[in-house]
Amino acid sequence: MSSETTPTKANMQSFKVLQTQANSAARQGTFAVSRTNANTISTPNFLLPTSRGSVPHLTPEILRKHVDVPALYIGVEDFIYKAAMKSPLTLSGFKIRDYVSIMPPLDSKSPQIPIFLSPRRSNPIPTSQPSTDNTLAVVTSDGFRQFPIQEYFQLVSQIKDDDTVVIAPTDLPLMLVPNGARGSGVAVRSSTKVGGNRSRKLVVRNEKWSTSMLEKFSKDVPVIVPLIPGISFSQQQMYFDSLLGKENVFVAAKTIETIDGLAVSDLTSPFLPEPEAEEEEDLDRLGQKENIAPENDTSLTSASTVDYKLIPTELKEVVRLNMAYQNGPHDVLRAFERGSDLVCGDWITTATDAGLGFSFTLPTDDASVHDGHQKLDFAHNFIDNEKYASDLSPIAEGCECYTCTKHHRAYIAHLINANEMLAWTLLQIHNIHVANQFMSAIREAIKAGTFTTAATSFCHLYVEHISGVKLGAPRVRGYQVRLVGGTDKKLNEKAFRDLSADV
Amino acid sequence: MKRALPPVSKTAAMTFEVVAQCSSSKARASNMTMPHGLVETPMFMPVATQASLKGLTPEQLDDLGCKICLNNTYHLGLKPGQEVLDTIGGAHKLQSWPHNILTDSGGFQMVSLLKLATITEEGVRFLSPHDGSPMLLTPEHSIELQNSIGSDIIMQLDDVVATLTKGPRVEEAMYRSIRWLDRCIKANKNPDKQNLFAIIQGCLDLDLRTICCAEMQKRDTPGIAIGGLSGGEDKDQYCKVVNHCTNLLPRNKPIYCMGVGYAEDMIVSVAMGVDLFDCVYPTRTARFGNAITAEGIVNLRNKCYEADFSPVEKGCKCPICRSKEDGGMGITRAFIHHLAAKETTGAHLLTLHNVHYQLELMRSARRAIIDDRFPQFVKDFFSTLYAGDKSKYPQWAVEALREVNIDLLEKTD
Ligand SMILES: [Zn+2]
Ligand SMILES: [Zn+2]
Repeated sequence: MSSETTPTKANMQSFKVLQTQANSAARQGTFAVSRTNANTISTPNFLLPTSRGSVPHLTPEILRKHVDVPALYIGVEDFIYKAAMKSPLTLSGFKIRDYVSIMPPLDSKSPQIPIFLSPRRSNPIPTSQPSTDNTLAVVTSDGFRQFPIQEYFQLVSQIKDDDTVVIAPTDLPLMLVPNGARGSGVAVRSSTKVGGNRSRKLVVRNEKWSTSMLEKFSKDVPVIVPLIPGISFSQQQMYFDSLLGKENVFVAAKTIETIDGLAVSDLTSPFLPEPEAEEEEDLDRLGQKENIAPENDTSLTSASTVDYKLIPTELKEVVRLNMAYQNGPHDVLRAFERGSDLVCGDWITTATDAGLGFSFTLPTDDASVHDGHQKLDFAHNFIDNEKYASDLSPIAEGCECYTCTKHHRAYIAHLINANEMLAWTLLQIHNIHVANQFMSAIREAIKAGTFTTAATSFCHLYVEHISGVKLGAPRVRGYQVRLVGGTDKKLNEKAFRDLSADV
Repeated sequence: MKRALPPVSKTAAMTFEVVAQCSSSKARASNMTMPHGLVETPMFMPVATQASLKGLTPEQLDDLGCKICLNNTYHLGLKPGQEVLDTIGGAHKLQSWPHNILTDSGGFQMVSLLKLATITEEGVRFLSPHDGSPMLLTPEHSIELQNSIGSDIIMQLDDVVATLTKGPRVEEAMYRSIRWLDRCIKANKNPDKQNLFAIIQGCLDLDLRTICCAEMQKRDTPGIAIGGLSGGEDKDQYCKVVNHCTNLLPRNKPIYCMGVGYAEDMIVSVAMGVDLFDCVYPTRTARFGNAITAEGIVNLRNKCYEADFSPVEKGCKCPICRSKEDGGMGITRAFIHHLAAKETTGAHLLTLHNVHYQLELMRSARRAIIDDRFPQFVKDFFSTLYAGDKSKYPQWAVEALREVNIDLLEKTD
């Protein structure tokens, strides 16, 4: 395949790799999020997930004044009811940016915060029924729904603007077992290993969805299409050919101008518990054991196993969005080492909800100097932690975020202890700031060629799991908790209690 | 007929100056200068019970123009506790709040939150919410706690009885409150920094109120609160007591009606000469999706607002209703509906609107008093609230306002 055969024109490329690493797949680049203006995201970076269009704990005013947001991730399923085309968002005729009042940042170079639109939330709740050829299974506040792909396209046409990136629907081989089928509505992992029939279905379906998305939108906005999770690269060769306009039965080759990015999902969901040994035996007896995904089978495409070296050349220089749940900064470093350019920032909100205030930085020195030292926590734990009760220092020494310049640990500790909502607002502002600093240090390290050393050093310096803190599944809201049964109630109860508690 | 010399009072930690008086009613506008700056009355004071106002940053509250807020002594005494407050250096430092703070005595909360509280001459006996051990809140301890909090206005511990109580218990509580004021005055370590307010007791008995007003006045505290109300009494009874007290109390001291915060109640009370108000209602109700507007309460959780793309209140200048072009957030009713009860930011947004409403209502009352058009302001307020339908005006408001020479039903051209 020579470069002349690809319909992707070099000068149209939205993603530019500026620096690569010799000893890892990590790379530093810029992603142009707009076809009409100069708005770009420096990578590696993160997308800040929204819940019902709101960054958890932050009003739009605080978002524009006190937080530097690289980009927002909005799941359209948060806005649709039974009939998507009769939902208030559709009826309003608004752009999504106006609907949820995302305003230009007060203090930033970029005129608008880039918005990534996807049919589903980042780290969505697995559905209890599969998607169909023309519909995507989603979770709305009304429960499980089939969202017609054509309606997603129509809605996206309405709500996108010049600083929007759109993500094609992905048929994920991840499902909840329907209520009552096994246990009492408790989520279990099922059917993650994809059989031959299902594999062909996945290819055909994603091919159709992705190519239509490209055809409809890539002239106006960047389009990110999925790698098909759960099958090998060779099994999806036909899909790649189709994306590249070589053998496309749906779209004439010429109409595809460009592919801006690839999204890779995980084969697990934080909402699905690890299968227990007993359960596995159970499945074995039922002849379903092969349905359990071998996590370390590197031939399968997933966020934690993907090998970008094997991807077709034409798809190498596009932005790579890692949709998997990152369980803290260690995971984030691994995702970048594997070659991701963008990760979802659910881990930031999860840490905030758990009462953590980040205290990590990317080390600039060599890992070995930390050997023999006790590892540090990557965050301060403000839950039931009396040691901060009279501590007038900022959450992190030298931090320049709004929270740290205006408030102190004693106040955060008090607010957490008193279960006041402001605790989470202040922690969220700080944690996003630290995440930004972290991203910026990672980019600098890649530029300097020291990223691998720095990442190793980080893992030597900081514990991966803070003792007594369980960073579980990402944020779910009340109606979603009901759908996933017993998943990780503790964390979400915390954030919820202050709504009903009274004085 | 404006009075020639507006009353002024200067005490160690407060300068109180009446800057304008309504020529019909008893409404007045005043400037109250305290250690943490100027408070312009009439003023509504939002309640930041545990040193935080329902998810708003102190900066957001400041940006709304709030110059004084409430903290609750009972809650701060539990969390973070007196020791931490002493180490940190008080509640201003705890919440990084540059303006004034008022604290209650903690007694009311104790009696209302803890069913087993009993009152003796010594103080309020109760069982610790921590471990159930018997505790005692004395006037001295209440003041000591408020001294540790460092609030600019501190309240005396009073003997609280339910508003509708009758008989000797009312009299006992009234006299005990006077004795407790004396103990509080003696206990206050910071009279040069913290203004101790007396609380008038006596339930609905006007004779007892008269005695109490006279006795409290003798103690010459920087300000006076009318207590023992907002306890389920009829509105006309409330008005009778307030009107009675403001007639008796000195005109050169701020008068504070505790626990009053409904718009109508505040407007009528301002007309009767009250300067300060506080209430948890505007912030509490925001969490249930209720927006306070000049036309009444709008419950945005109602399905009829799911596709209503107008602002929460038309013409409102709060940060959420103001358009994006005008520097606001341009939030629609539909978006609040979308968030209500599902994301806490929905409550934060409505809290911003509701607190703004309360503060702005008092600011516009003040402007009206200064321009000497307060009676018309009151008439316009009721007309908007009841969509011009005078038959819907509450009788108690009509009567109370008539007492202070504002006739709501008067024919106008
Ligand atoms: Zn900080
Ligand atoms: Zn408003």
